[in-house]
Amino acid sequence: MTEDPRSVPDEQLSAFLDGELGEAEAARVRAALAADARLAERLAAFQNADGRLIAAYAEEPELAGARALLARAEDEPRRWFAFRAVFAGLFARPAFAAAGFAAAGAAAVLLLSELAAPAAGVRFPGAATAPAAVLADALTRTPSGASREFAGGRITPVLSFVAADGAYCREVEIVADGAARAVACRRAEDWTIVLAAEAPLADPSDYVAASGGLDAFDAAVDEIAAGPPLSAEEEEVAMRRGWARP
Amino acid sequence: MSANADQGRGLRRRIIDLLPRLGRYAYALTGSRADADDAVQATVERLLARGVPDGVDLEPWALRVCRNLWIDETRRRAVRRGDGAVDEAHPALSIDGEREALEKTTLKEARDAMNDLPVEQREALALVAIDGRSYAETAEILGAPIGTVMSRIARARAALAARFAEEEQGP
Repeated sequence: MTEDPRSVPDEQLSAFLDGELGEAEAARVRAALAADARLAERLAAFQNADGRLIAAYAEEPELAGARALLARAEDEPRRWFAFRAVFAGLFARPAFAAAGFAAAGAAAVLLLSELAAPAAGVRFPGAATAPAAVLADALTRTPSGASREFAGGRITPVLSFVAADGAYCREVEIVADGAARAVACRRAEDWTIVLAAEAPLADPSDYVAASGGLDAFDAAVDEIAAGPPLSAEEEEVAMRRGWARP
Repeated sequence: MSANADQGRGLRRRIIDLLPRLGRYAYALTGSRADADDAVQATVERLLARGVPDGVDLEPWALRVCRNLWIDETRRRAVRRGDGAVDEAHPALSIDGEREALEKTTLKEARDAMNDLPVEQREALALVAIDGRSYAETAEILGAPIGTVMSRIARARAALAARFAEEEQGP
């Protein structure tokens, strides 16, 4: 690395390459480049170094570990506050009985065992309806990611987790006439729906962003969950044990 | 403040959107894809656990977290092994033969050259030359004055240019 007496110092030449010089300074460098072949060579060497670097790091890291973490992570804890009030209010309400409910707002509480008959439909916000017995059966037996079909629709458990009180809870997606998301928790040997929201079904990757309701829903799920979702193995164990508390 | 304008979107999603940039930066910083994986994972873990302070943009913050975690890690390694250098295993020769192998060697040489730069120069160059950021943005991320960023980049380029020129004349 010998010091060449060039007409423009490296620092300025380098800033010129990055478009970081003011107009007047840049013009001076351009003039010097036209007059000084060694300077032009120097600039080319800098450019070449950049080019080699860009090529050298073009292959992106897989980031598998980070992606796995993010897949398990919860959305924005910051907004739990706003929802907490709504959610607490809903818990204070008496459970809805009989053949179903249409929730005012994003969420509602209902005990599956309070349904009059097993054939009774549970009507979710957004008009999705599912037979209570099928819903209970899907919650009990269908692994997350798999779908339980019924006449006119399907129920897909999304994930399972443990609530703060130790009960197992499952988030499910119900698609029938409309789409909804719900969380049911296993308490006193029955599934209790603790949360439900309409889920506009579009591209699964953007519907959360597209719907403020689901953001609130996700935040509420985060609020109930005491930890990350169960792994497939953990879920299988819980299912085998009839979702009895660990 | 505009920093909070996208606060409405979940932190998790914003981190997911940022991953490619974070990955490229970590790769250039650590010089190895495996180390970049680890550094980004540690960064994401930290971000999810502690969040981002109010009024702070996620992106520069995340890059700063990544860089600090990596510097801590290199110090730990330096203590453990008496040197901070991290080497990536030589890529296996592919059946596509010599040309590809040669290209891989060239890329490896560039990463080696980068790894031999002081970390301050490497991170500045990674942000400006590889990721195309302005000096102002880079200065904010690195917490250094623009003039310092400018001279680090110039020194880094001068060192790389000298090394690459040497290689071309090489044995």
